[in-house]
Amino acid sequence: MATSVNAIEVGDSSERVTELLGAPTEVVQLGTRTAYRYDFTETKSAGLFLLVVGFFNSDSHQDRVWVFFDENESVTHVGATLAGDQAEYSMPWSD
Amino acid sequence: MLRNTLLASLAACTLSSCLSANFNRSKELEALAEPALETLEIGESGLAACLDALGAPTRVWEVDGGAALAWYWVDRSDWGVTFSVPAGDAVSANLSYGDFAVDAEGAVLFFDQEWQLAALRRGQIAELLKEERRRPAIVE
Repeated sequence: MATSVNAIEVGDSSERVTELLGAPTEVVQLGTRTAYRYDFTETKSAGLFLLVVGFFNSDSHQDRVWVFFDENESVTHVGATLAGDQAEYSMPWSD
Repeated sequence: MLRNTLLASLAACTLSSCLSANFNRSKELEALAEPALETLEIGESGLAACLDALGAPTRVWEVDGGAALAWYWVDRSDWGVTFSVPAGDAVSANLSYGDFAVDAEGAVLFFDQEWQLAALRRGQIAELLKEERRRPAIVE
C-alpha cells in the first residue's frame, strides 16, 4: 500500500487514484469537493484461561489513507497512516 | 478452623466451576501524538501541515462548506465475576457483577473552504462526533 500511496501526486485525477488504490472504502462529499477513504484493519486477539479466570485482549490498528480532491476531481492533499503492522498479541494488562 | 473452612469452600466452589471471572480489553487505533498536535496553529496551519503532523484522520465530514477531520482511538476494558450455585436437578442460581471503562478520546480539526485550520477541539469521541451524521449540503 505504501508504494501505491507514495505514487499519488497533487494534481492526479480520481481515475489515477482508483487505478493505484482500487475502489475506496468511503467517498465523502465536502461541498463541491470530495474525499476518498482507504483502509485496512489488522486485529490480533489473545486469550488466556486459568481454570475459572479468563483474560482476553484485542488490539486493532489500521493502514488508513485519505485522498482529497477539488471540484475538478484532481488530488489536492493526501494523508496516510500506515500502522496496520502495529497490532500485537498481548494480555489485557499490557500497554 | 474458620480459615480452613473458608479455603475448603473456596476450593469446592472453584472445582465445581461455580465461580468464574473474566477481564477483557480492546484497543482500537493509535493514540494521537500530542506533541504533533501542539505544533498546529489555528488560522495558520493548512490541511497539508495537519496531515503531515497527524497522519490520516479516522473520519471526515462536511461542516458549513468546510470540513471536519477527526482523529481518535479507543481503549475499552471490562471485567466480571459470576457465581453459580446448583439449587436442584434442573435449577441453579446465578449472581453476576461486572464493570467497564471506556477511554475514547480524540481531536477534531475544523477547516474552512480554503483548507485553513479554523478550530480545534479535543475530548471524548461521543461529544466530538455529535455533528458528524449531518446530511451534506446540496450542491447547486
